[in-house]
Amino acid sequence: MKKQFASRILFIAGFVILVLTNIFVLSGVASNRSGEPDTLIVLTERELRLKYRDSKENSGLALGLYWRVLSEDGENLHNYAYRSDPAWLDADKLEALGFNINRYLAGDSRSGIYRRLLSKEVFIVLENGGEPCKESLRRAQSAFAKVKKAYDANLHDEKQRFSFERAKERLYDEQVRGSHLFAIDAGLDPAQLRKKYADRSRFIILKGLVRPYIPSEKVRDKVSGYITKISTIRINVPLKHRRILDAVKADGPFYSSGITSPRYKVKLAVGSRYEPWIISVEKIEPIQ
Amino acid sequence: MQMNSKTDAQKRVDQIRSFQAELSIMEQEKIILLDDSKKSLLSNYHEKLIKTLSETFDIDSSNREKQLSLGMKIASFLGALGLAASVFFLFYQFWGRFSTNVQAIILIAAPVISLAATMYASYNEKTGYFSKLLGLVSVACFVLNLTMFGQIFNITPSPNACLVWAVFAFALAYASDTRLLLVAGIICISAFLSAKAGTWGGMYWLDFGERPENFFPAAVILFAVPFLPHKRFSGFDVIYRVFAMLLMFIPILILSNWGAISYLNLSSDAIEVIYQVVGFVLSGAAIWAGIRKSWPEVVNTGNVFFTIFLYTKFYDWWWDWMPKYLFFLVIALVAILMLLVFKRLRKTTIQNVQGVAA
Repeated sequence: MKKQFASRILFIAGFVILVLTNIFVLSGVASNRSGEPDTLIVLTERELRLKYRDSKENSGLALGLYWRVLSEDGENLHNYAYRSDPAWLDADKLEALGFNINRYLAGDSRSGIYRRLLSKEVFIVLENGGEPCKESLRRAQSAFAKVKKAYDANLHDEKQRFSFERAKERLYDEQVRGSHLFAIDAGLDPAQLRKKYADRSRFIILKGLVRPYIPSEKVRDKVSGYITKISTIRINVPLKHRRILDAVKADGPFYSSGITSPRYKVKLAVGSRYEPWIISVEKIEPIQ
Repeated sequence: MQMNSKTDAQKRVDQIRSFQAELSIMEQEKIILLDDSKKSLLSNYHEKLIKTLSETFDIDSSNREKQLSLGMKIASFLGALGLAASVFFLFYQFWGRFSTNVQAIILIAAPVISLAATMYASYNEKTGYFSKLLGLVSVACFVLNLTMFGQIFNITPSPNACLVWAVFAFALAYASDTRLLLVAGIICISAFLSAKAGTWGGMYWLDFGERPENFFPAAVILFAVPFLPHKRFSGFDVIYRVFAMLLMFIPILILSNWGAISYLNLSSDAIEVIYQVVGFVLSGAAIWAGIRKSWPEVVNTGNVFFTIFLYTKFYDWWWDWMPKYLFFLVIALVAILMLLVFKRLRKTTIQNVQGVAA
């Protein structure tokens, strides 16, 4: 009898857990979306892309946030999300983000010191269509001009022809498909970052992970960091915004030949808890 | 004698069956002869006791029943896993066709309905197989509930989800006396505690696996839980202890071979040596404590890890320079040596028992 009573209490506790957890989660969502959004920005297919391949078992639709960094290396044009090391994420910036660089440098390096460095969650600032975007295009143009000159001087060289084709493709990518969204800064206090980057229609602040990286030599100047990921990289598309995207999906992926400009634009909001959501999706007429 | 759990009741019935078999042999060999009245008294008492226990705990009163029961347990386990996976895939298959409000209603309603069904089955079905099956589905629905909310509303992942899943699974495990749900609860709470240990160590919570030491607090806490009274629940204490030992010994085994991923600010070699010593000492201590406290699962787990630590070391030391026949001969000799040690230990234990009996 006593056991049955205890079991009844535990089942009721189960119901209470379910109800309270759902109230807590949904009130968090409501609080994120209430008031003035922290960011209200319009992005295109360049920055928010449909998945290249869909799972037959999953009927949901999400857009992936494509962001880039401008690395120190002028030739490196394709720094997309994976293990991106931006030029601005140096030793001083890492220390400002709370990493104890000197301690890492003083430690044992015999078995690969970089393994001891841990990721940390910080706030990342992403700029849409700013100076890094222009610089990236300039780099692609300059690389193309350099390769073209070498190819023009030796039209029968297979190697030169291959380099020329690659540079041409890179430049085309940069002009037509490359994301305009660049990670430009990081910090621990989102309010301070917002003060510094006040334009809410150009700068997005999102949570992300940063990790220090020490290349072969243990020299302070060589310490740099990379952004391992942005926490909310996939943005769910609610049913009411699916119509245009389903039609676009049927036309094939963004990288298909014949697609020469972004096919849709998305109005994206980021709330007080730095969680994004889609406000609207509009079709963009193709540029002939 | 008060019966607290199904395990206790089953033990008592098995004891009665053994007693009856032994008594029958003794009667055949004319060592003891009971007159009819005593025989009937004994038989009536046992039958009545078995009937009462069967009604209260749904125990198996014969070998045939036991075999069938095992089959039902396996079927119920597979059914629970299958149904839980099916709920996940069913939602994934169709959720894109619903509006956000409908998605939210389905996700909230699924665990509530399955919990109500679990509660109903628990009170109306004596064997408990259906309540266990539904209980696991209920936990799966709750996991789906929060995971999908995360996807639908683009919520930043949080370790607190593991905590609420754990509390929910524990509540159901204790309410329906289900070991499978207890395992689910233990996995979730271990993930939560390890993630928390990771954040205290300065890392992002989802990276907690990068430092195996993060699992130690969870291991210690889980090992301590069965010191609270658990007699009413079948085999819960065993599960806590086995999982606690896995959470302790697997990280030690990893660190004893790969010191670079430790929190300790020492050279990799020094860290590996420290954890090798810790591994041997703790597994030895587990065997000792298991024998002393009569915890067979602790003795067995300790034994397994002691052997793994030992053979890993042998591999490190001798695999490269020893001829293979000699390496395996050493392994065999060590196994024989361990056999002799255990035989001696067993003999000492038997002598102690006989001494106490005398």
